[in-house]
Amino acid sequence: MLADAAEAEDVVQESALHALRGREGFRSEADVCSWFQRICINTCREVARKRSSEQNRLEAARREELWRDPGYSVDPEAVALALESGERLRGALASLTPDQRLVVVMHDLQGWKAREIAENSGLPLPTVKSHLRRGRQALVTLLAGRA
Amino acid sequence: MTVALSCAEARDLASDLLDGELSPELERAVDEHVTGCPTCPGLYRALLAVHHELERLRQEEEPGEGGGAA
Repeated sequence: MLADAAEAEDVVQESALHALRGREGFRSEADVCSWFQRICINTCREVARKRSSEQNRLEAARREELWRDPGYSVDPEAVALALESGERLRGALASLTPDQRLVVVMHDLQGWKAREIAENSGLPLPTVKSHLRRGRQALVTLLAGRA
Repeated sequence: MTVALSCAEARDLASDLLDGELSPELERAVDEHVTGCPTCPGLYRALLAVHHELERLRQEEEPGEGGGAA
């Protein structure tokens, strides 16, 4: 979800501070793990959004445009070949928008359900599903070598 | 009668199809579109390849777990 392990550690520390500051709002009947998980997810989104550039957003919009073009296609063999390199996949994941990356990583790599992501991130369910579709499509485009 | 889909609609629904979230009618519609389209089959096969690779990595990361955090 984030650039590296050091950034992830910063997010955990920042989340712990958020949790301490917001402990008054914690309901004792709620699950403390889920509560802290929600804080971590939102801190991740905040950090990733700050890091994301205008260029990143423009490139994402361009990729979405490609998928709306009926003439657009890719060579699936080229994508399969690119998938053999973990580095290419990591690079493609890093090029997604922060919300696309969050949803694809949580859903496809960590096994969360779309509904669970919506409940824990505060994003509406249709938005989560849209980020998942666009994120997967963007991965195909990036791995095919046309971004 | 099957719903006729545009390329953009079929491509969006293909992602839902991978998650098994489509009604049989829509599954049929995506299948028919992909079969008869000159450009969508490549995209669908590539989406499937990415999906399988991410799934493989997830299983590698979490041996024995059935998914679903929280």
